[in-house]
Amino acid sequence: MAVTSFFSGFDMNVNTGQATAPIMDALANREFRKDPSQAKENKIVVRNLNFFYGKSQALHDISLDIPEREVMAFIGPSGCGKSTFLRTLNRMNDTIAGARAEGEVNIDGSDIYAPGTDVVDLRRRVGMVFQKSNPFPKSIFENVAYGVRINRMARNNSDLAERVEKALSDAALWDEVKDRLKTSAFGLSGGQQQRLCIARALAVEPEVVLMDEPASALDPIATQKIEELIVELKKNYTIVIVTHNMQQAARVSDRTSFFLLGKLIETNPTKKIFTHPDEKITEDYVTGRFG
Amino acid sequence: MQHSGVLKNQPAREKASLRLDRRRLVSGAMAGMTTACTIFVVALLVIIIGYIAARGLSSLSFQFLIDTPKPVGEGGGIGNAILGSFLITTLASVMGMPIGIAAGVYLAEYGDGWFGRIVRFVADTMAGVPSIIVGIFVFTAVVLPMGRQSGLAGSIALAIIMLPIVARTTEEMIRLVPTSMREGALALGAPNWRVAWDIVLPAAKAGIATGAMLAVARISGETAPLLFTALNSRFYNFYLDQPMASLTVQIFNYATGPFEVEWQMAWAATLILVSLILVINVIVRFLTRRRF
Repeated sequence: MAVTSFFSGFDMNVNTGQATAPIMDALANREFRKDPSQAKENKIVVRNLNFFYGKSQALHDISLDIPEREVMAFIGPSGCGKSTFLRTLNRMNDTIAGARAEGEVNIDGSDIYAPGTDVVDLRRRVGMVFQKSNPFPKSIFENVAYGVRINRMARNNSDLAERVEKALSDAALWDEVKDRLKTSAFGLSGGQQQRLCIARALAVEPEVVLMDEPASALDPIATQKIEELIVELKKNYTIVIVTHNMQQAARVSDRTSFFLLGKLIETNPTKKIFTHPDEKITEDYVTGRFG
Repeated sequence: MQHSGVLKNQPAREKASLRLDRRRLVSGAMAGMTTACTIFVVALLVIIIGYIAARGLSSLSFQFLIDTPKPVGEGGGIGNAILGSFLITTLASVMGMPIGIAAGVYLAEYGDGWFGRIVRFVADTMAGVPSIIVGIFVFTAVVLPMGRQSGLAGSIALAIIMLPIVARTTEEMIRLVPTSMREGALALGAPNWRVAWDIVLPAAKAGIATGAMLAVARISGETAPLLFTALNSRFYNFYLDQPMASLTVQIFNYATGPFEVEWQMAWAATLILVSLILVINVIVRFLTRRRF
């Protein structure tokens, strides 16, 4: 009896090969480009990437093209390597002792793992937003100004102030904080803190923005704001987002990659992933049969 | 459905409620015990400070604070000892704190290898060395070559005592700064040293200051290492290459003297020492309070 009731909730999906109703709604309620298969220029080209934490291999032979000014989503169950892969794109894993990458990650045609790569400059070009908002113990203004300062991007103080305002505006936060720029960043709500972290990443004028489950700790309204922001940002930036929430992937991404056990199973236009994916295992995952 | 079966089971429910009673009892007893211990500790502190104040206040006067020691019966004070303690402790802090904090930063940021483990072990051992041994060491290493005791030698001894305390507390405080904050700065293109300087140190500032204050409080109370190194002086002395008076050594001298009036002055000097440490603590707390 218990067994039948467990499956009865999925009756609608079992034979259609389609994702759950909320995901289908999400797909129906948004615009896609006419022909998503028509590739833009590739911003990031990954070839045969293997990644190790000490002796255990976390990523197996990943090859992937990420087109510029699109949103690429990574989905997959916990521990499948999607966050690890995201962090190889700006060499954030370098800080972990014993971590090692083999293979190529080309950004604009040059391999970021080649010897002599300036990791500091790479991280300026490839910004990152983390799962948990991580503002610095500084004022709102100084949080955004920090990256501009360390990269010596502002000509003078008024230029700095303009850059901070622009970044906060781009992150849809300016109106909420313009009267309290000198107060602590910790006084902001969780959603505001996350948008502050996005503003901070945008202030250094990156080309790519990596987002590691940026809305997973936020309430639905704050999540919606972040998602609207992502769609807005792709006009100017290449965005790669890791998410546990498949509806979120359906709402914001142009392409979706499905990861499982450290392997990249398939990459396709988002609509295709959720309606008729190439791989059976992807279909099982997006229809909720495991994961 | 097994779950509903458990809930309907009457004896099992009674058992559960018994367990709950026991848990409440244990919880209450624990809360009571910890409260009692806290009250005991705070009470001890209040008693000590209260007793010092009661004994010391009677001999306290403005003259006592600015006078130098005089022969028994002619009054005398601790002015030069306050000045000496201030100079010796300040110089010790100037030497000990930057080195200690830098060592702590090193241990936290790069200290995972064999060298870091050795430094940590040495620091922990040094923190446990009796202070009189540090005094003897400085006597041999500084006083003998210089040919005389001096405020400088006293400062060096106190700085050595201070070092491991400051280094280890700094390391602990820096390790408490969340990795996510560090990564946030790295992701903006900040090199490692700027992350440590701009983000990690300010975030750990209050904790590091507290550790440094504990070290200052500790060395302000040291007597043994100063006996060998700074010795004592009956005069106001600004020259660090000369023997120098200090509050602790002065208290020791007054307290071990044969006359009641000297003991009175020892109590008063103790009250001043305790108050000064308190004042320094309050000032540092104020300066390093969390602004963001």
